[in-house]
Amino acid sequence: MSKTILIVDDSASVRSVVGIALKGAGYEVIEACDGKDALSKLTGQKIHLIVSDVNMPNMDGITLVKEVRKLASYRFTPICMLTTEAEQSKMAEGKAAGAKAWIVKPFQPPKLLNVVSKLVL
Amino acid sequence: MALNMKTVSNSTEGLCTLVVEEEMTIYVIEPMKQTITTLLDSYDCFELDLSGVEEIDTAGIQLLFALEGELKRRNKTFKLNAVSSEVTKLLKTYGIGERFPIGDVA
Amino acid sequence: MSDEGLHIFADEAEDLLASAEQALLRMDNLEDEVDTLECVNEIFRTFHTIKGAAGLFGFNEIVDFTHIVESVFVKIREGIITVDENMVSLFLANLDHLEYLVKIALSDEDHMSVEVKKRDDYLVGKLNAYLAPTAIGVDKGAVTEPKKEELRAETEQEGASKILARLDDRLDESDGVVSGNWHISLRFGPAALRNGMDPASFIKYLANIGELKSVNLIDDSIPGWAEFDPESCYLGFEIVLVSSNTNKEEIEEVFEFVLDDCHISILPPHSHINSYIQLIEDLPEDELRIGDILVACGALTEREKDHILNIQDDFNDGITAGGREWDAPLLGKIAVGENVVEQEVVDAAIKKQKDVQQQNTSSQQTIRVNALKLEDLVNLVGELVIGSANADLNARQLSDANLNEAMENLLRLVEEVRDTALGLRMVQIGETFNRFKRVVREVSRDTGKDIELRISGAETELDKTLIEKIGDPIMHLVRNAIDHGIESPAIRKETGKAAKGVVSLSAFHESGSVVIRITDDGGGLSKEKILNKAIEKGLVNENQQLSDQEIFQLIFEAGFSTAESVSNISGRGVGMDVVRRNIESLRGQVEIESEEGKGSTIAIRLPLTLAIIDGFQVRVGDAQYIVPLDMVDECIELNESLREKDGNANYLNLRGEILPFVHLKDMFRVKGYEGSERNAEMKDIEGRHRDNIVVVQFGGKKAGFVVDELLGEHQTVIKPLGKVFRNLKGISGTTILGSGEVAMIIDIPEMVSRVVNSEQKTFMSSKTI
Repeated sequence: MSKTILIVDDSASVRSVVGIALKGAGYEVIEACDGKDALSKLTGQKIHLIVSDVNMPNMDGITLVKEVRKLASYRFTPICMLTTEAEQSKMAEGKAAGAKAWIVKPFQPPKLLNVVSKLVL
Repeated sequence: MALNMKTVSNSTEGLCTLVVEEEMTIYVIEPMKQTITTLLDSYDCFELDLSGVEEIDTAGIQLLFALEGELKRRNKTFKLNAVSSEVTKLLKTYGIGERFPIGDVA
Repeated sequence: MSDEGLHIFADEAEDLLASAEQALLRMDNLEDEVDTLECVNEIFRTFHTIKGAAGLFGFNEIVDFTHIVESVFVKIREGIITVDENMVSLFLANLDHLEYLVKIALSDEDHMSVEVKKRDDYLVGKLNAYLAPTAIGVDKGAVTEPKKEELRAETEQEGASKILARLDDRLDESDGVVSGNWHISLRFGPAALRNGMDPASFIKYLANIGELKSVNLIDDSIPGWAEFDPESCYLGFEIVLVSSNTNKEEIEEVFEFVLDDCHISILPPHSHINSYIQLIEDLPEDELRIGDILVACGALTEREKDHILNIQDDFNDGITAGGREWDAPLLGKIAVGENVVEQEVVDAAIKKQKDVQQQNTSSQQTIRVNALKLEDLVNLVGELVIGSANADLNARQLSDANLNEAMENLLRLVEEVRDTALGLRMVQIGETFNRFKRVVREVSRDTGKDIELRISGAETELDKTLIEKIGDPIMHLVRNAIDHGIESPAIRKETGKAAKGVVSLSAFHESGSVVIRITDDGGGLSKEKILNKAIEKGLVNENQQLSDQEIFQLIFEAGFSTAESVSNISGRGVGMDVVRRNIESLRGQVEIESEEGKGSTIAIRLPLTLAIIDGFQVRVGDAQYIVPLDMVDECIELNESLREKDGNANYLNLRGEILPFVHLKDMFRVKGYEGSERNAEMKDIEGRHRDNIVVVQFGGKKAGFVVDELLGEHQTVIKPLGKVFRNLKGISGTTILGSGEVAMIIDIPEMVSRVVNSEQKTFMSSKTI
């Protein structure tokens, strides 16, 4: 059974490249353009990993993590944040909220696949 | 995403078979433990049928160890009746493919 | 990267840039703080998003630029900088520039044009001004303290990564001998599963760096059923991993996300213990603390060191109030007790520390000297050399035995003073080489290639000014070797090479020069490709006959690049010509050897020093010339029997070798040659003039110069040519002789290549006829 990953980023090109890389590695990919969109995509399907940007309009990544952890069916789902060097404080906040993995931007697809394979069984 | 576990029991022989379907992950592990807790005193022999498990994680495997250990302490028996390929895969990752006595392999 | 992705990136960038521009233009009313902040956020997001996307596509120029803009916005958002009119127009310019960069990235253009680059530099400069602490109009005292703290953290981090780089290199070096079983002991904390971290995925991942020989699940910590919390993790694992080319750091990195949730200890294979001890002994003689020594040899990871330090802090609580003291035996004891490092290794580290401390106390007596003073000294010594030559000349004419003996003594001393003075400027090249370890590590990471850097001849000395100037060209060549030379691991496997590429840096002295070689075992240069490209670019003629060396040299022509895909690691076809120019300006030369499929070697040949040389003085007509003595191979008499009987061809048969030669009098068109009195004096009994040939050697090639008279050795202080004469070919400088006359120093590299080339050409043309 292939695993499903939700990628949350306000940049369509990031979503596209990440999506292509993940699909190429055999994962199902669902895209969301911000935190709110991501929350709406969570219901009705099983998602095994959430990869989310921090800085997004409507609902940012940190709020998303907090919201996801409130959902019974996603309270243990691994979450990986895409952060930049400048967002170190955000990263600590994200970790406290329950996102234990992170990738520092800019990154290239092989790095992402490595991290994902550590997070998806 | 709820627990899907049926209990097939035979009171005269003291045998209880737990049939887990679909999921045996951290999301269902708490209710699963609670159900088993209510059965522990009533039976001497527990069998797990995992042939219908489509998704299992380490929490699931850990429960097998916890249950086996507890039954041993109570001088009761534990057996894995059947396992699905997903379960086998994870057991192999942990190098415990042969760890539990297994009946028929599904 | 997919075209589809690029299209989306293009559209997205366009939209974002447009809305950011709108936001900027809305910022005309700076009084309205809420509105301003909203605009700032919107613009920040534009740069942020484009940066993230550009990174995925590897558009590093965009990443670099947007990063700086973003940093300024972070300061604005934190309220450290306030927005003013000037800033708004600066950001408008930034947007325009970013639009440009995006356009360039999406087109097939190789690199920024000079104009764009200029603007890039200009804007970056402007932006950096906002980032500099002085530009922040805040109370200075408040800023400097944390700033300092930050700086310290940064340098500490840098130190750590330096050590790590060294660790990797060290372990890489020992690859061949070290293999065996790594023992990894994991105890997961209760929160692991609830955090979404499944131990199984990490164990599976380990299979990427080695072979999982055995995994033992430890269930001892699972409590009785009643206390058992099924969502908590009680499991532990004992894992045996077989890997020959990994290190502790890499294994630890696998568990980066569970480090907080998991107790890890990694024990190296037993064979590693010996190699650690070996590595400890081989470490440079820096005064390191015991923990750093253990980290440097790879026996301890940074995280383990910190952990042990914390334990030690608990021990010492109250005893050492200020800062962390490194109690070596104690730290070692804890490390051994914590099962992270072996006793033998700790012993070796303690011994190393003691040795270094002892050595340092004896060798620490160094004095820092102002470079200018040193320069003055060398100049003065130069004058001294000239002065003493002059005195010697006069003393000889007096033919006073005592005076001559004293003079000889003096000359010997002057020579020693000269050597010592020059020695002050000599530095070992090792440190420069070591800088490249980090570069290689980073570049190989960026390119996804596995590369080992081998260094030899690190103790070779050369002039400090040379070392300073040669760093950049070497850097360029090393990057080039990795980027264009070494193939990707997949291709290497196909061609039967080890997956790990090797780049070697070596230095050695050879006939008065220093040779620095950069060798890679990569794909080598394709003569055909170079030639085709050169013809395509109009650098050479289609039916021109070129030697291998001449073909290889073409890669140093401006705008030349054979790599099929241009990447941002090495240059983009600019640069190789700059490399050659830089080297030549140091009186050096570059040679290339390459075999397609097997690799390339680029050799840089540099003079040892730029100031004083041992010269060989010759006379042509009434003019005196100096040939650097190191390059003189031998002197022979030009004897008719030596001359090849081939008409006017200027080459002779030197013990079976063909030696091309020229008459210096023709080369320099010496005036009044025929009327030279000295020549008249020297005619032999038969009234013939005897010619001498000075055979010189440079870069493996020999050539002869016909001169009238050999005058012997002369200590030569090089006076560089003035601006007017700088373009003279064949002369590298002048010197003043003891008699006060001026002698030209012959530029042997230039002359040799001129003689050899012209000879080859006549040889070739005579062959084709």
